[in-house]
Amino acid sequence: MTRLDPTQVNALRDLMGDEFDALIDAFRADSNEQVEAIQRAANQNDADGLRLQAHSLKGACSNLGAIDLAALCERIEAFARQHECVMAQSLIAQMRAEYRAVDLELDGLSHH
Amino acid sequence: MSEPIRVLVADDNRTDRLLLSKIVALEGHEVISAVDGVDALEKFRTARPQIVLLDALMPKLDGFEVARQIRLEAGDAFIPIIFLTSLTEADELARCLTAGGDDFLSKPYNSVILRAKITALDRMRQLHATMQDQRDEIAQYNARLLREQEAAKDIFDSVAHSGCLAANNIRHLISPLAVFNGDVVLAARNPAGSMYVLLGDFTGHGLTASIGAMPLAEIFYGMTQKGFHLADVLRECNRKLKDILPVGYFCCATMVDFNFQKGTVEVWSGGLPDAYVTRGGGVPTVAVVSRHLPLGVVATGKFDGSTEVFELAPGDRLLMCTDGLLESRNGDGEMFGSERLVQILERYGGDDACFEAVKTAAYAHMGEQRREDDLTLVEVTMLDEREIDAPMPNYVASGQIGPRDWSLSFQLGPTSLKEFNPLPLLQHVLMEVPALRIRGGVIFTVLSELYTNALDHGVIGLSSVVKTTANGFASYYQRRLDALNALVDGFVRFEFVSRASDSGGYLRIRVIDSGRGFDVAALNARRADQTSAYHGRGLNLLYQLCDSLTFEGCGNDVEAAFYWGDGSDDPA
Repeated sequence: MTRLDPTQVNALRDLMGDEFDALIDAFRADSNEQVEAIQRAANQNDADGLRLQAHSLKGACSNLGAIDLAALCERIEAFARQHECVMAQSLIAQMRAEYRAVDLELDGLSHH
Repeated sequence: MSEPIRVLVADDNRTDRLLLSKIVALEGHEVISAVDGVDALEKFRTARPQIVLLDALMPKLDGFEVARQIRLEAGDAFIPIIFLTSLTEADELARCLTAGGDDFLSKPYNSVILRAKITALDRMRQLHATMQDQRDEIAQYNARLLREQEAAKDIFDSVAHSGCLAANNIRHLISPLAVFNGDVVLAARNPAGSMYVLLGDFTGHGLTASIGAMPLAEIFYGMTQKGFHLADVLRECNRKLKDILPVGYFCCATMVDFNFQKGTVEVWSGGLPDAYVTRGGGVPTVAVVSRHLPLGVVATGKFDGSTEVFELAPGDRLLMCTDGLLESRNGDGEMFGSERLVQILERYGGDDACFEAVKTAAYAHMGEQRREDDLTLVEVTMLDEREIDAPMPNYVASGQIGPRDWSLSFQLGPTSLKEFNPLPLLQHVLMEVPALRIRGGVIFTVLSELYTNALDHGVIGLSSVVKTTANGFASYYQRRLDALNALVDGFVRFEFVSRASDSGGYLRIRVIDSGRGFDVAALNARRADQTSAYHGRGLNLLYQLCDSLTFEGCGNDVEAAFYWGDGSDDPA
């Protein structure tokens, strides 16, 4: 099952035109770092850092059409606001799994 | 597609930044991007974009703080700020707007919506800029108008509140708003030493109201200086104002003639609130009601210059005011009113403290509203002539050397005696003789006295006895008016002879009337008696002022003479 909303992806393709691939590559590079940063923040009990990173990734995900991934980021963000870094850990594990699936799909998209 | 503008895009996420920039650039706009809050402020300062897209949550400096700073630095200009947010709660979205944002855009970004928002906000920005320009233009225009009004006020002040207002028997208060509400106070002495005071209130507001004060003042001062009667001055003022003012504009006025020799005041009032005559010793205050239409309304032929005459002892006063005093309101909107004024006058009547008392009461009544001070009031006090401290008119030389050997005969028949005052004209002739100018006041007084005697006692035959009684003057003037109107024959003739050389000269004034004359010897005897009342003063005065005074015929032929230098050696 596709992890990306096809309507959103098509809109992006129309909008970006030649720069579509560049956008996908940029997202993949940045989000990869952000996922690691989220993990680190949770490990270090850095609630603020966790909140900001999760929020940022959430935004980008929604723009790319990665809806489920965005939803997970939102839930992590909520825990971070409550300073519940420990409790966020299980969600983070789910997020990582979801991210791997999204990344795979993006890889397929950009090499048409 | 709207006009290309410069757009600042601030988002810490590269993907979002790329997306946004693409959407904005596709619209034809120039894109400046920033990676965080600090960068955003930097770029704002250097690039001065017209619209800012701000991510609400950024590291280092969050979007709300950036928005606040941008607003500060934008100053007067309107820079629309659109917050970018993936916040979904309604109150969080609302916070975007209350924090100084003008709109928000949620993620995922919809290019159609963003384009529409940019267009709409840019339209607002342009509208705002246009209004700023117009506001600045209006402010400049306003400032110029104020400067012009200041200049106009200076001219107005130099004309409309001048003359001998600083005399020791005049107290006055002029509204600071006078140039805009058209209040005028004029005062001058005529050649005989009488004091004319005119209080005027032009209708309307603004400069239109007060501009009529210019010609009014010119006529007032010019004619007063020449010795014209109150009624003549007013007639001419009325004619001029009717001529120049638009329909519906006029000048309410009260004019008074204080005669210090006779101890009388003559009053003409058209349209102003009641004036008041106050006397000492518990005498009730007398209200002088306006009996005429304001100046500038009536056609010249129909102008009514009739006056009321009151006798005043030294210390008695006349107070006049514009409706600004009566209509001034206190905090509850209650007007000051004429009753309050009369109460104060009853209490202080004729006392020196009266004017201040009225002033104090008016200010107390207004309290906080004093900022709209619209009070104009004048008090004139009767004094003994010798105590008056006010300048007499100067005679302006016409520039010629003047006639040095001349004579003039001027006779008035009944119609002229009824309608025409010859004194200003004759005075004008006499003042063409340089040596007579410095004695202008004296000469006018003598001319005036001789003419009055010739007309009143000679031609009309009024007995001067009437003048000694309490209301004597008032009834005297009435009888005089009636007799004058009924006149069918009679004459008064002036004969002037004058010689002037480098070493001296003389002027002889002979006045002949058609009356029966009087018993000169008897009157001279009474004069010596020193107990003579008002009616004897005329003769005393003449003897004092002239260098010589002789009576011919049966007393209806009198000659007064003035000498200077070695002029007493005249061959005649």
